[in-house]
Amino acid sequence: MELRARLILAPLILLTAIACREAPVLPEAKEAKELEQRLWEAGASIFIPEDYELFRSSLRIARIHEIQERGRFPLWRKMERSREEYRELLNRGEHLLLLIEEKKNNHRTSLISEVEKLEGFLERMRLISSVINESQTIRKRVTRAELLLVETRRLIEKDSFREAEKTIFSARQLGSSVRQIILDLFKRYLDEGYLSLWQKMAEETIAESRKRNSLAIVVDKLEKKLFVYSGGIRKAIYEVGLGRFSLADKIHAGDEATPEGKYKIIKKILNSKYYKALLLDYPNEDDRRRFAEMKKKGLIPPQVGIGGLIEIHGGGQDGLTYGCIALENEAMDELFRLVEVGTPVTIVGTFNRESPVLKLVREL
Amino acid sequence: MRKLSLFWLMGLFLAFIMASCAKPPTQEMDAAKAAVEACKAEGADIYAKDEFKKLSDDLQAALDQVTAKKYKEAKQALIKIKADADALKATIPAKKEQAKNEALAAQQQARTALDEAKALLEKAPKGKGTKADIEAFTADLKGLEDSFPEIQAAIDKGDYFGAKDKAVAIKDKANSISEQIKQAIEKVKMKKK
Repeated sequence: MELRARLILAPLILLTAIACREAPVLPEAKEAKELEQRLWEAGASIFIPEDYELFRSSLRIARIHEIQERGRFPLWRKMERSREEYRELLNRGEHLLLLIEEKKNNHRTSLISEVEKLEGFLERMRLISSVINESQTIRKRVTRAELLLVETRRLIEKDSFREAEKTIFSARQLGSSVRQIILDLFKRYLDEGYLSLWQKMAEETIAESRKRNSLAIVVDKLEKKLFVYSGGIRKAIYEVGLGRFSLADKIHAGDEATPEGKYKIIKKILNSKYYKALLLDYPNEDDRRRFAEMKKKGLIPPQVGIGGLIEIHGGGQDGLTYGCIALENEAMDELFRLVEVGTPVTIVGTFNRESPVLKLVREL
Repeated sequence: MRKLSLFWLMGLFLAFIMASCAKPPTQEMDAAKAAVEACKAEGADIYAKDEFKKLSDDLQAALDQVTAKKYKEAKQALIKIKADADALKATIPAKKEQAKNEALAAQQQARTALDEAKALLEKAPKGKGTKADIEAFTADLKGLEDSFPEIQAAIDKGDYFGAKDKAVAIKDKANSISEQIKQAIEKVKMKKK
């Protein structure tokens, strides 16, 4: 009886021992979980959302299989199948990590290249703004765009590429608006018709100086330079300051533009508010005719006059004027000595087609 | 002996029936899911990214246990997840407050840098030779001033990290303009000498 009981109990005890045996923890399962964490940290949900989701669902399936396998009677457990499943996931996960890195690098490189391109674009616009008097709106917007690019660089550093794309977009929009402002300002300067006309005006003045063997002055507004010719030969060049809206042609009083046309000195003023001054005969016949036409069309308010008192005066070439041409006092002394009442003064937009500023504008 | 075998068989049958009839811990599942969702709604996925990720993973693992009909283990895990989610949720307001304070401090620093640049420009020698430069720098600072409200707009939207980034960018740019103003002033001084 005792023997029979032992024979029954022994297998029972053995079976219980087998049934209670826990399956060992799978190192592959732990590694797969850690890999999933690394994928998430690398930004898998952003850079490879579909692949990442597939990886996660495969990991879940593998985990469910493992749980089910662990629930089986130990003799029937096939943990090797689970291990194999995890190993496959580990291979796939490692491949995905490389893919994310590659995508990130490509994205980063393309964003940085876009930022650098925009920085160069803004730099050119800043350069243009530094040589013209109408720079305020340009500088304001360029600064805002530059600010956005600083922000973009910070976002790229943090791998926040989506946000970086948004700030680049805003910077690009600002850049485009500045480009349009510049193109509008330089519209006449990019027009072959105007360039030819200005060149002709300057050449005629120089030819006249040669013919009469007399003095003549040509002012290039874009270059901000005053050229003195004697007998058709260039004798001196002076840097000048111009009106706040010097790129435009003067139309009426208060527009703070420097006029374009053929003028002459009608008075030499020794004691001027701006050191010494040479009064020009603005407005001339052409100016009056154009003013009348524009007024007739209602393009100039009725109470606004044509303006006057346009002078070449001292007071410094860097300062802004209301439309006059300003020279340094030493230069004004020289010029004052050279010229006389009646000296022709031709003011043009530019007669240098190869002006570096124009080149920059054309490249925009 | 026959009675004993019958007893064993009945016991096994009962155990099988009980195991088959065990129900998934629906209540705990709903509670844990709701707690994790509430945690996300509070901003845990932004202000406690790593902790929230762990919580979401734990929830998924518990749901996998349910799928594998390991209800007992799942139930225990779900109860713990709910507790963890509640605890994490409670920490979020403080984290948000900290991010907000950092954004406000950065905004203040940007304000100071901007005001310093403006003050420097005020001190710049005016008149002959500097009018155009001063106007250009004024326009630069106006550009920064125009961008400044974007910091507050981001703070108002609760985007504290974005607000901080904007503030730091403005501060850096203002400092760089200050440097340029200083160089311009130096240039004028040298010219005068």
